[in-house]
Amino acid sequence: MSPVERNVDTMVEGAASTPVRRKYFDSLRRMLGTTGLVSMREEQFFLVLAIIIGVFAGLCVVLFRIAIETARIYLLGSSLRPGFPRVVLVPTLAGLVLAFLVIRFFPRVRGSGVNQTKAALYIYDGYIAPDTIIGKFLLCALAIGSGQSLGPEDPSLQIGAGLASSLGRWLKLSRERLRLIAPVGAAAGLAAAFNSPITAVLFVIEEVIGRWSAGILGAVVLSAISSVVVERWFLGDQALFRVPTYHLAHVGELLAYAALGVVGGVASLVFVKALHWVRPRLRALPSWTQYFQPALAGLIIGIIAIRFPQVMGAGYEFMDQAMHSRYTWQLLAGLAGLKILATCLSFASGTPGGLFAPALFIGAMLGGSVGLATQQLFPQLQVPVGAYALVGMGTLFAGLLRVPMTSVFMILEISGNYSIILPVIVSNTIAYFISRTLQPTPIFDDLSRQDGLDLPSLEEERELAVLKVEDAMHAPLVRPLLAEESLGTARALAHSSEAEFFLVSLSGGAWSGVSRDTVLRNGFSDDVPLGSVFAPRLPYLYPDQSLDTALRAIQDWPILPVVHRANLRQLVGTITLPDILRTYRQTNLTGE
Amino acid sequence: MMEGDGSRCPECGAELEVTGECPRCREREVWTWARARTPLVILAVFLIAGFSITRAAAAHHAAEQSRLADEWYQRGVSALVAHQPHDAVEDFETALVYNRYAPEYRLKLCAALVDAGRISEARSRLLNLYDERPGDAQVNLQLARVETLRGNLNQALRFYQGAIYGAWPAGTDQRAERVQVRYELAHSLLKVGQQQRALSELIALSAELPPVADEHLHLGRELLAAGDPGRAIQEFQIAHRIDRRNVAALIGEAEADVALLNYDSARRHLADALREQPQNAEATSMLHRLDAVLAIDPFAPGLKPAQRNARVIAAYNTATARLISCGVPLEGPMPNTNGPVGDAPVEFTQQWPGLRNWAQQLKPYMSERRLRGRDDVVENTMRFVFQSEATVSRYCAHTTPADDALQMLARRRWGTE
Repeated sequence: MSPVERNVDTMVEGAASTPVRRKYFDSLRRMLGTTGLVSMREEQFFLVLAIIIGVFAGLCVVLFRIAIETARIYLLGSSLRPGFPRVVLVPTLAGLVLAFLVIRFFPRVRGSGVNQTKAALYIYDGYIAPDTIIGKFLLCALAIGSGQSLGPEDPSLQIGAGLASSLGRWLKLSRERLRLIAPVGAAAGLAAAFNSPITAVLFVIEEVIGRWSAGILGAVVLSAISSVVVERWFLGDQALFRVPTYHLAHVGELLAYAALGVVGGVASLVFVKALHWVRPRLRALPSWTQYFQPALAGLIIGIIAIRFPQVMGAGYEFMDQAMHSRYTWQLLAGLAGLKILATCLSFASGTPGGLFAPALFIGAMLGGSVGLATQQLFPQLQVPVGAYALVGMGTLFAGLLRVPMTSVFMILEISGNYSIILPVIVSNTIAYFISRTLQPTPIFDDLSRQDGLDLPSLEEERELAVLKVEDAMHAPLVRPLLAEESLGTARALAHSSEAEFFLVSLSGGAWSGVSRDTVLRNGFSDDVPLGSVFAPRLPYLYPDQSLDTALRAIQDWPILPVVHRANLRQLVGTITLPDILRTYRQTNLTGE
Repeated sequence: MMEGDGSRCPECGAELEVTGECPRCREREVWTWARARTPLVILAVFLIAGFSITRAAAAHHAAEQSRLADEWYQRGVSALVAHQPHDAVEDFETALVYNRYAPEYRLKLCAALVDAGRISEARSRLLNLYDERPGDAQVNLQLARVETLRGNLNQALRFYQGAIYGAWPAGTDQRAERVQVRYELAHSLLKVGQQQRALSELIALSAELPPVADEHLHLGRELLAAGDPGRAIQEFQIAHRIDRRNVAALIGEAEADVALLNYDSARRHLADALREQPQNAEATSMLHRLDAVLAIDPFAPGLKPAQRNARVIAAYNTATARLISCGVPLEGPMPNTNGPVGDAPVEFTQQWPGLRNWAQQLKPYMSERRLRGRDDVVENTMRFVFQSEATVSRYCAHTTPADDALQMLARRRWGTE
């Protein structure tokens, strides 16, 4: 009896006292024992756990959003335009408190949370300290609520990852699962923060994990969905923005969206370069200044906010206004510039908070600005400004965070309008291209390198040329033997050839291999067919498979057949271990 | 495949099986009910606690948000009432931060935006609302107003129709709202000169009105203003039938009769009205005007030639006096009339030489003796009188009761000719 069946026995023993009930429980025991409802392997349990993580993350994000909103109302008041001197004093004083708490109690909560989650995945075996979750929750709520120019999405991502990590450790999951559990929680946190599960799943796959794996995808999707369900339960199922109706009025409008792509790409570049320049310089200042940097950032933001309160906090309400032609194009462009400045200061000063919302804000303002300018230049086009603001968000997402797929799907998910896909793709692609060409290192990789962490750059990995079997294989030196041929034919071939190893093509596309000595010195007579002597045992490869696959398959075999996918008995080449190693070496030397 | 000859598991250090698998790790990877029970129970407890805390926090938060939203909304309404639309916009925007999707807040915001002259912003928000609630009559009505302001009549008509046939909020008098929208639509159409379409809307209203005298009176007045006195009379008659002592209905009938040039019928209705309400100033004044018109009409049947000629000379004098009072130099040097003269626009001054010549040609005939037997001159004089009154009234505000009477007479005579 297996341990599983023993368990079922224990469970149902007490209940099955009468013959009828015993019969019933016997059948139940058989059913449960064989279908795995009572026991499950860790990968199955992981899926259940993903749902639980999603629920917890959803609850945490709901509380996090409430905390931010409450902090804002208490600190800055309920008006959209906080009065003077409150608008200056609150971010300044809150900056002092934040600096003290970060330096003294929660040093790991600095930054957005994306890199910390990646670090948990790649460096710390999925470990995120519980105090980081608490610190992130409290300090980000205070920072964003007091008007620092940062957003709640990336912290939500880290809070979700931290929760998942704690849960995984408590359940003593295997190391492999522990490592993967942080991204599962991250997806849940981000999905709840954005109220957009697809965006969250794609972002985590594209930026945090970097690969599509069936094992993790299911868990990520489940956690994201369950967290969004919880979030909607408590906060309603309304979309993040009231997106205006969109339709492409004229094909020529795509040129305006292309211009938006250029503007977005340049803005992303300015943002990344500014952060790249400011952050290390602030960190290089004497350590005592760290206590005052967030306050100084808060002071500058407060002064800006006397005239332009839009730059404070995440700024979602103002993005909504930009979508409805609230401002002139000049003001929108100015707000985008001020937000870049404010966010650079807030982020570089070490104040915890995210970059997603500022990126969306800058994108919305630039998009609205381009839309209004287009409207003025070409009034006959009837340009929908809201659509430009929306596309602008995706453009900045693509250019700044360098997640092209996420940026496209995010806009589709937010707008629920698939007809906007063409402008989104045009604009995002251009912004991504400009950003990638002029700033090779993506922002999160740049930040992690500034922090001394060498996390894998998933964009760079994606761009790496994948070596294939066809890059290393060569033409067969000797023809393969066929299963129908006799041993005598094989011996004749061995005599006439200098090859040390012969490939044998068996029926059904299987392959075997035999050394020269075995052919010549075995005890079978010459008329015995090769098919009856050699069993299928040799792995074979296809030309388009990766060289990594070949390396794993070759093991101790001196040579492997490379066959045609449409005819497994057709040998297109052979590959050896020295071939594989030589190809890797050449690639490293040429740097391709 | 790893060899299983006594090597150890890198994870837990246990001895590996022949297959290369670690028995301890394999066992650990299997989650049985017995193993999962305790953690699941603890997680369930945490979940219940988490839900309870979040629910309490969310409920408190929602109440607070609702309070703030209402507070800012009320401020916005007050600002709107105080004709401070810019302040109202900000207040409604703030209210929407706390209750993002409340349609009434959004509608009010749009109304404030329209008042503040921010039409494109209002339109964008309204289109957004329209996407969500295409059948909402209030949204359609606001959009119709915005499109009217933008001069986009076809779109406005579509939205007005949407408002007429759309759903009004519960608790409102849907019929009354629809009637109001039709009136508004008719006014918008009249403003852009679409008289026939406006009349169609007003005629459509006739069937919707309940048997209430005031409602039919109102519709009669609208029809009269829209230029359909025939149907207006029908509405006034309905009102009169509903309320036999309704003086306003009688006066309305009289007005419509005047418009139809049925002066006798008009006098009858006015007399009825004054019988019901002898002190009614409007009826009295109208009756006087009618009498004045009938008193100056040189074509009235039964007049002796001398009486007719006297009326023609009086009409000529009234018309020329008005021309002079409005700056037309009938004597003396003629200024350059190819440009404006004083307040008189060029379109008016260009007609001065013609009017002066005409007046001067007729002047020698303006005596009872010279007019005698000259029906052609009588006819020509009255043409001059009507023409000059009509021309002057377009450019000059100065008028006397005699001028008004002449204009009414002009309408009557030119209408019958």
